[in-house]
Amino acid sequence: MANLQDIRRKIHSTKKTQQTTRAMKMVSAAKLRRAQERITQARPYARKINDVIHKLAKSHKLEHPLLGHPEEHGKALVVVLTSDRGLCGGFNNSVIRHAGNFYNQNKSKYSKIDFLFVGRKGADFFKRQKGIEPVDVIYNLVTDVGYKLAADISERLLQYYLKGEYTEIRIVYNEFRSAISQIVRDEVVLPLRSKEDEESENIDFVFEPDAYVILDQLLTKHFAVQVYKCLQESVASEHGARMSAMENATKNAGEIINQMTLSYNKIRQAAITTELIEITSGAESLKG
Amino acid sequence: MLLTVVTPEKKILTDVAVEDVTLPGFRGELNILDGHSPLMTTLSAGSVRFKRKGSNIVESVAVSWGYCEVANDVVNILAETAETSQEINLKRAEEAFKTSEKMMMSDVDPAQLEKYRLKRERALVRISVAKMNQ
Repeated sequence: MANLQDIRRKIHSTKKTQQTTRAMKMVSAAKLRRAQERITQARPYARKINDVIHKLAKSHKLEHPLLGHPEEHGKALVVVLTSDRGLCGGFNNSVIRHAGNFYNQNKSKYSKIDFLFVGRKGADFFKRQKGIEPVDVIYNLVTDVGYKLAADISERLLQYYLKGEYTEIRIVYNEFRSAISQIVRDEVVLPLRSKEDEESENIDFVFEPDAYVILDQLLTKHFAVQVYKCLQESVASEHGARMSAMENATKNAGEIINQMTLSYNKIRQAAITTELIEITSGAESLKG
Repeated sequence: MLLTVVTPEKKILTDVAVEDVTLPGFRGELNILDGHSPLMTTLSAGSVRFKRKGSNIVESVAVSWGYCEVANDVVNILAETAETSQEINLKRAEEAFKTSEKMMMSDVDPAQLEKYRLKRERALVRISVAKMNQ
């Protein structure tokens, strides 16, 4: 049986851990709220740009290198969005697993598959487990998730694509549903798909400078916005995942503390009882 | 006429009723009034100025690269960045102006020069917008 001192020490340390996890939960909750706000604020811009591209593509039969279908047996670049730090439940695992499966299943379909990681966790895992060296790793997503960063990343990806280093670019990330549910998404972001859907009214616009230049610039921005959206979703998911993971940890710590306190009290009781028995029996024997 | 200004990070204006809008268009400043013909243009760095309906005060927003669509008396502006005069940090803009000016004077390679030229332009726009409403 464990002695009293040990149990007391263990309770103490578990309480400390619980404090930490509780604090982490609070911090994540606050950050999550901000991340969610940013997602909603980015929506109108993305929607507007989409609208305009549709209108343009409709009224003018425009061809553009960024539009089209991915060619077969091409060279793929998979951008995997993970976090820099752990303690966030299955957040990194699910994305990494998906990327790994994609690699195993499609190795033969592509002439080359490369990876680019955002966040340290993914890069570390692939280096350790599969010996795959990433094209590049981008750190510090969570601390600096402005549109500027997204624009820089998208610019890089565009360069890769336009130079013909890759014929297909995918992003694998966690889409934010709620604090307890994140869904892994795998999207082909380049080439952009030209959607042909609902009828929009056909207005005869005057273009300055001309339709092609506008389309060209808009597609670039559209791509940047898509990257921005994925980054935002991933950041929100990370905070959400961490929040629920820490919530669980806090609850579990509470349970452990309760159990240990119970057995601590039992042992203490037992010790007191034996002591009392010793005293009374000692007094008995003196009398006799 | 309704004016909307959005950036990837936030909405600046949503469906604000305005008398007129002045934009830094591709071919130079252009003023848009009710009944303007449909137009799509890119915007250069500059200030978007507008008067709210029934008001005589000219408000302005500094934009960097952007894009504008005019149709059916609705003006939609999508800008990479957009700041109202209250949001602009005048001190910072002036500093940016000075540093970019200095960098352009010193010999930097041509690729960098373009960067500083754009930076200087943006700083100038910010300064003018910030000073206008003082």
